[in-house]
Amino acid sequence: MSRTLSALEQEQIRRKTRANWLLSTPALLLLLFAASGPLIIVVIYSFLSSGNYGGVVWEFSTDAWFNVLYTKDIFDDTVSLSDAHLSIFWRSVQLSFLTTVLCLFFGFPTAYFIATRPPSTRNVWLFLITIPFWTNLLIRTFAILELIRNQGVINNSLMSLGLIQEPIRMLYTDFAILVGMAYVYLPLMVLPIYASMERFDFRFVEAGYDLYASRIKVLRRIIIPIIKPGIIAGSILVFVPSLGAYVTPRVLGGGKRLMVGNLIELQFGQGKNWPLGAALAVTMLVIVMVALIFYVRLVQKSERNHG
Amino acid sequence: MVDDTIRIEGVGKYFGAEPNLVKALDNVSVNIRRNEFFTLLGPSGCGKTTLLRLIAGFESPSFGTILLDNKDITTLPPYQRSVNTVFQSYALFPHLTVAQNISFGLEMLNKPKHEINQTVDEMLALVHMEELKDRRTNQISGGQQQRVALARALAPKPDVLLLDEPLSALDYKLRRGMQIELKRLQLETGITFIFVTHDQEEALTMSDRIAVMNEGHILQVGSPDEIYNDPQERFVADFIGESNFVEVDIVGKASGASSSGSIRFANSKKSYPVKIPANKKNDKKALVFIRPEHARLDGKTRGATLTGTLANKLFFGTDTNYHIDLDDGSQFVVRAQNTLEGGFSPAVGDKLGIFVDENALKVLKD
Repeated sequence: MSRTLSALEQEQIRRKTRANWLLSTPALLLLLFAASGPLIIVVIYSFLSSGNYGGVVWEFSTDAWFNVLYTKDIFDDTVSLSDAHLSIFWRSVQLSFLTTVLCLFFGFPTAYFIATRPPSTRNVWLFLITIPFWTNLLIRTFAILELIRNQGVINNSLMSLGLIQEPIRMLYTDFAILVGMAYVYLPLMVLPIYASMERFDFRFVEAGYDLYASRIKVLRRIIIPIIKPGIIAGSILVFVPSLGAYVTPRVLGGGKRLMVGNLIELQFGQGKNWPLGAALAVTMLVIVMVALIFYVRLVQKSERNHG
Repeated sequence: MVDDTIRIEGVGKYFGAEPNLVKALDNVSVNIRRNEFFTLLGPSGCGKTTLLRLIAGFESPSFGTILLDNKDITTLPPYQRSVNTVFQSYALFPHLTVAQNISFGLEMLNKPKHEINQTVDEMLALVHMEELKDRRTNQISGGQQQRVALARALAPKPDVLLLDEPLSALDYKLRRGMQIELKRLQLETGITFIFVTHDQEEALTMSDRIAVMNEGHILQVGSPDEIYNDPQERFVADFIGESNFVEVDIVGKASGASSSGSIRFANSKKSYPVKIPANKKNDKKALVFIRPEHARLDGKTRGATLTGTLANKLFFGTDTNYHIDLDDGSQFVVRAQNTLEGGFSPAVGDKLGIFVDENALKVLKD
């Protein structure tokens, strides 16, 4: 802009900015105390030594960070890669990725269905989507447990129908964790996709058909690219909490199929190794950040290719 | 035999069910010729857009048949019809650039890459958009979006181009420019254009033929000249241009198949020879329609077709409209061209005579 602002205009802008800052102050303070504060504490703890009965000793140490990746044999002090930690991290990333894919697979058609209902009935469908939130997560997870355990509803019905001779083992497997997490996080996928889809102008679909695009081509070349922001938001909202899931793998994975959330809890609880727990938590944070950056890059790249 | 691109045979489209049945289109038949600029004209809700959507394939008719080049396309989906649409809202894809929008249809038809690039360049040149080909569609003006929408629909070289009130969102100056542009594109590409509008002026200036529609029916199909000067029904006369309607007595009828007869205005002795429509042969009264510019005003009332007093004068630049209260209380409008010499200029309240030649009198069917 070539014109310089008059003193009055500058004063008006200043006043407006000040008012906006004032409005956001409560939220900023809350974030500072409830999010940044604990985060800083966790980072500091990860560089301290662990106390004998939990807690930390104020003594600088990188042992915790060393223990994230390596284990030292208690007898001969040989150092080797920590298979247990790596496999848990790997399982967490895998399960979270599969959960995201599963939620996308079921959530996209659901959001499409709701967005194409007449406006008067859309709210009813959205209301139904939010019903699971009314019940405590723990109770819902135990309900799934009741369904899939060996003497559960599914196995009992299949056996009484004579379709199977002995129960199918579903509980305490990765499959159980996957089902549980997909169920829990499905609304977080549906809602952002629905929000994008609701603003989507369905005349673009007609224009696509008019220009010789079949149904599949309209979906791939028009609908998905235009509602991509909703798909991205939904995927992040599902992937991030999946990675840190605690209750679902605890209940449906038993004590055996651990995810990162359970591993961290273990260090602060039974393990009495707070610095290791803190280091694991920070590691997970870094994984999430790397995954997000990678994902956003990928999306931007596909945007450049397809326009 | 006349070469028809589109044949609409007894097509109807009903929405809903009794008792809320809406007959958007009711038993319409019309043939649209090859390379013709054909306009569907009517007020909103007359069924013109429904007919267009049936031809495009976005809706299926409740009954009837639609033929394209003598092939029945009634049940074909839109993507299998060589018909493209310019939407009222343009519906340009927001995630694609101008050039990518234009190439979309060609890509869907799996044309070879070099052919696509060549056609896109041709289309960009045709609508003068070469400079802006890499812009997103939300970064160009309404008039430019309009041209991209046209280029996108023309690029696959369809047999028929459908245009759904494409100029309604543009301001007056731009609209006049696009009218000329559209006509040029139609002549250059040789594609049949089916144009939907509620703007009678637009319809008259651009069309080869016009179908006037109302309440799901086509009332009259004809050239702009026929529609303007020889409307068959009151609705058509009223919808197109300004009109005066006067009730007259039918005083003389030729017997048999001849349509000639004569009419007389109230309080007048003079009778005028005119054509009487077949359905009015046995009636005593009829409605006559007179265009404002086909009547002439004079200070003398002797021998006038109608008489009245001047109630109002409206100046339009090229013309002046004179609003006259007739002796029976009804209104009549006379339009006279303004000249530099001034000429006859009556004042409000003057008693005037209205003179109409017999060939300017049209007896309407209803």
